[in-house]
Amino acid sequence: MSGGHGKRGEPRVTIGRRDFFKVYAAAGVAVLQGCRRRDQELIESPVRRSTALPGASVWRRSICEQCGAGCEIEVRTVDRLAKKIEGLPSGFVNRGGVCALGHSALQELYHPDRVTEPMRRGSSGELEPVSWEEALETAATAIAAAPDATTIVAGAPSGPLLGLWRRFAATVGTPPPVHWQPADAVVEREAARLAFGESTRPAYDLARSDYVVSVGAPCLDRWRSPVHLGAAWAELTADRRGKLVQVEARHSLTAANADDWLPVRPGSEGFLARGLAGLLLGSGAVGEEGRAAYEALYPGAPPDLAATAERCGIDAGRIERLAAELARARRPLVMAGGSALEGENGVAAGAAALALNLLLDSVGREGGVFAGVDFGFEDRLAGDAAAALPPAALAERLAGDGGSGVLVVSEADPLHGMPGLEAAFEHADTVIACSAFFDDTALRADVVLPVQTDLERFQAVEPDPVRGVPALLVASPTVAPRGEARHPGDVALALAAAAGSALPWPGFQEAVESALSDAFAATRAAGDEASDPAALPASLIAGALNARQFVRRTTDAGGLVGTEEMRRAPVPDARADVPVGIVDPASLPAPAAPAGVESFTLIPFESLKLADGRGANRPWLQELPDPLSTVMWGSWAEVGTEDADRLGVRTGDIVRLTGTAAEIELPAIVLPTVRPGSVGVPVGGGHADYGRYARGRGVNVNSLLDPDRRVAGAGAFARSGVRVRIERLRRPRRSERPVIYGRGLRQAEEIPVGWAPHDGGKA
Amino acid sequence: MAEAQRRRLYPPGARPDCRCAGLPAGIWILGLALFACGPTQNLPTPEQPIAYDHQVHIEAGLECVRCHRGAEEGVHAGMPSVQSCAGCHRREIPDHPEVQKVMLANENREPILWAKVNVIPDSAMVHFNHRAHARAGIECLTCHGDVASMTVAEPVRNVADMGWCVECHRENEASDDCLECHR
Amino acid sequence: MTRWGMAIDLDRCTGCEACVVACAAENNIQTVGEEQAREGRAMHWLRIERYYEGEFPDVRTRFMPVLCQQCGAAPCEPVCPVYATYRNPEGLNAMVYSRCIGTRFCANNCPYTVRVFNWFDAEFPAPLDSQLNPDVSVRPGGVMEKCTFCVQRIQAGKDEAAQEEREVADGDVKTACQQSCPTKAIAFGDLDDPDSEVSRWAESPRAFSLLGDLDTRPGVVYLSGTEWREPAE
Repeated sequence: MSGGHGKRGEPRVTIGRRDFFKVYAAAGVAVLQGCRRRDQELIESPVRRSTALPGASVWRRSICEQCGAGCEIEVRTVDRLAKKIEGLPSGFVNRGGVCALGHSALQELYHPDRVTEPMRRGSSGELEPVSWEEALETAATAIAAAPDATTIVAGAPSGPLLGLWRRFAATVGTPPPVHWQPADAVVEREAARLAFGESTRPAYDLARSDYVVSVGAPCLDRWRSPVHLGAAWAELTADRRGKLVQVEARHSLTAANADDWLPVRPGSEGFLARGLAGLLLGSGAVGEEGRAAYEALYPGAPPDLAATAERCGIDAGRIERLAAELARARRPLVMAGGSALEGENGVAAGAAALALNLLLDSVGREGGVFAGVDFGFEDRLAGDAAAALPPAALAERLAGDGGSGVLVVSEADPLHGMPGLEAAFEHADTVIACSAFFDDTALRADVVLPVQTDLERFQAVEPDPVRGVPALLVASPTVAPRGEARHPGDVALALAAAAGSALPWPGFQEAVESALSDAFAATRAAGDEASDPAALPASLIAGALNARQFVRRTTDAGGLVGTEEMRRAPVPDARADVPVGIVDPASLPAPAAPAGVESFTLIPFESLKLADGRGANRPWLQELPDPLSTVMWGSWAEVGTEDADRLGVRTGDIVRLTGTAAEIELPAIVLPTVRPGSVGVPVGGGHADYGRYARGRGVNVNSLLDPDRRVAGAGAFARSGVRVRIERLRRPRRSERPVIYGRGLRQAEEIPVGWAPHDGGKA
Repeated sequence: MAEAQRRRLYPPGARPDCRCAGLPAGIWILGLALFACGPTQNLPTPEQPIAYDHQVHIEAGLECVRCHRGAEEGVHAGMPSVQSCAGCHRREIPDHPEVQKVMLANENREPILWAKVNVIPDSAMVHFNHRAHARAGIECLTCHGDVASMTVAEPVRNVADMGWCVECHRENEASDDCLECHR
Repeated sequence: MTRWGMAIDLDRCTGCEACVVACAAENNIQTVGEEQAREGRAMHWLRIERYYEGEFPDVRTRFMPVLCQQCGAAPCEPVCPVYATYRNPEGLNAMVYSRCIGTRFCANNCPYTVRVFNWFDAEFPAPLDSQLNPDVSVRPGGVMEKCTFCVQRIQAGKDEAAQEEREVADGDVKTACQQSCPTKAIAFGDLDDPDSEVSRWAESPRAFSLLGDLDTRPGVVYLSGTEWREPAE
């Protein structure tokens, strides 16, 4: 009999009827222990009086900060504990939806291995709990001793919190903080500057378009706002009204859902964009204005169809059809992102893709591209502090200082997310980590300052541009913070004060409120004809008598949200002629494969479950089967059927991927969707610690990457397009077998037979 | 990761981490026999951490819902917070030795853990909804007995007796579907 | 009388699995860990089936959320020796944990393979257990479980309506998966109410039942364009 064991050797704690049946079944081998946990018979008088009835659900509004999308959520709390996250139906970005990562914020909050008290490395070399005062003292002394040699890494996606770190840097006298953000975001901003003249990430109006070509942007995976873009995709494709065409080397979830998938050779996305431009220009469907705007950027002749097909490794007929459909579409739209922007030629590719919107007259109209506008609360908090640096600046700074100096890392894990930093961390005099977990960075830190997670803290977020409408979302804490964890903004302020350069606010909330107050004053002063950049649109302050009332009203209302009328086309910053730095991707040489050995193009990607690695510590996400490979728990390498046959690799076999500096071993998953000559590996595995569910689970694909590879023209690290070798090592040992979702109707990947018209369950 | 361990006031003899040792086979057989005979009506009155007197409070004019705030409107009847007990007793007999225990708990910010009087074991996986019964006009008395005349509350009915629940549900034409309670 | 039903529009489903995590969060579904998952003992009540058609580069990918179909004529029910699973008056295929003795006959008889077995007691190391939904029992080892159509949310919806002295309206009860779906691919409600959203979806010419030829009469309706309905070669 199978049932009735306690879990992992623990005795059962209750006796029910079922247990008696088991006793009968066990026939005399009745060794079950009978006792009842006394907790079940206890009922607690809480300490504090509450307005909510005992056991009643109280729903509190909050903002999901798991990524920069800014989804508004409702958190169900019962007796002051958070139970469930649901999308706020009126949410500015998400309209009621939440993604898998968003749900799992609860397991981040209640993770058994959270850091909940400040720690400092003692004389024994181990991290030991200390008081906040001691921890801040140690950290501040180190910073104040060498502000010039201090490097700040701020993981805040954007908005006010990043602004606060910038202000911190300027006040304390350190160089500007490094903004830890997705690599393609940096590239996209630069590509948009080249194509449209304005250096903001564009907002794409998928929902009202009728033909969307996504050049690498994995808009239904983990990119920008999966919830918003998923809903927009559903609207786009409802009743087969519109189409999504995905141009991407890897078969992402977006490619899987696209009406058409063009698996171009990795790194040739920009070439394809130029080839498409050539076909469009020749089709006669392009207006004079569009042609002029485009040719101002790309005066050279675009490559012809044959050359494009050759370089991209795509059938010419498919490219031709794509161009024809684009030309016919009423509201076409081209977006760029993801792996297309993460190669060395990412900026050129991104600009070429975005420039197609000029050709198609898709800029600033319904179903087209808009500027990624915001209310500028990052700058409002930053004051006149210098702009934040892109992620790759971290490597440069560390290399420049020979590694010595002080590192302050807030809510980021650069040691896990970027290769080649180990030595610099080793040499750093003091590493200060503001983190809720012992991630790879905090593990090496000398001082760990515990920070609050999403639901525990006051939030002020400027969402990533998805609607083209500016917004500042504000929310109060939902539950009490665990242990001694503090708001990362408050930590920054306390650090500055301890270093003797106090900022003008006691806390992050006060900082945001003061910025709101200043914005009100500037708007009031500017009057109706708003020309002051510090002023908000006048309609937003209408009805507020004074600054205090305005701040109060804004926080009560959950922030400031603009209107559709505030959407606008990108405004060229006085662009007279070709912006400096534009490169025709067709003029770049094709990436050459090293001679002699067969090598594969590595495509690291963010999976739905692990994201950039932050999802790895949540059991829900670890045990979530990846929708395409169906793998749970751990990392995998996606290998194409043809390549696998040639290498003799079967699903589950352990393969070794060898890069220039390192090698990793992981199970292979053979899929019919992988482009021959490429291999996909999810990022986010292989943490040294990061809690019990992530520790040592999977491998870190970032270790294969070349630390010196950069996206040309952007301060981003080029993670796409690295060449690796693949060898088959062995059939997996039992403990190495990938955990593949076994249950199901699926037999040999066939669609189950036996569909029948629905009768609604009627008898 | 030592989170501030909450100190709690437990009823005598009850510690959540104390588990009985394995019982000898004889007791198992006895238990089996008892199980076969049906639930016993001889219900023990649990010892409480504080000798709270219901009768005195009712006579002083308090109603059930004053402290068990969820009894009519909530899913659970609930227990009053330490803060609200102390709120009244700051004026009323603050020096009484049992009241002192409450005042101490309030000072130390410790919850009080009362022993449940009417227990439906977790293993039954029953989700009882207080307000649904109040809505149907079932009086407190029906399940809890005349608590107003008790000193320390004592069980009068075995609330874990499913037959009794179902009987009442059928008499009152409430649903007797399993999922109504078990889920 | 109410007959709860669900409709899933496959044309809107991207396979993002937000529903799968929402379900786990709502229903206290245990994660079994890497070792047990490798043995095929993961406990999801709702899974996303993925199908590939064709060969590179012309591969079509399809996703289908599969959960308990709440059959009108459920193969799992007659094989239970202790009546732990039965058809309830509101069209749910009920699962009574406190009756189940873990024979697993029901799971073997389910053509949709949506029933899962607790091989062990659930483990939620503190304070992860703070998240547990108080309206749903944590199932002990030795018990079968499966999708309940979020029966606790149905009960809460009815309780709320009764408290406000009104009938349950269409849209009052949302299942956890439906609530979180970014593309709004799931409708839930009363199939006996011809005006409910789920009934309107079920009337669609795109509607069909999964493995309908088994005559299990599911309470879950799938919607899709014609291609899905052609059996594979």
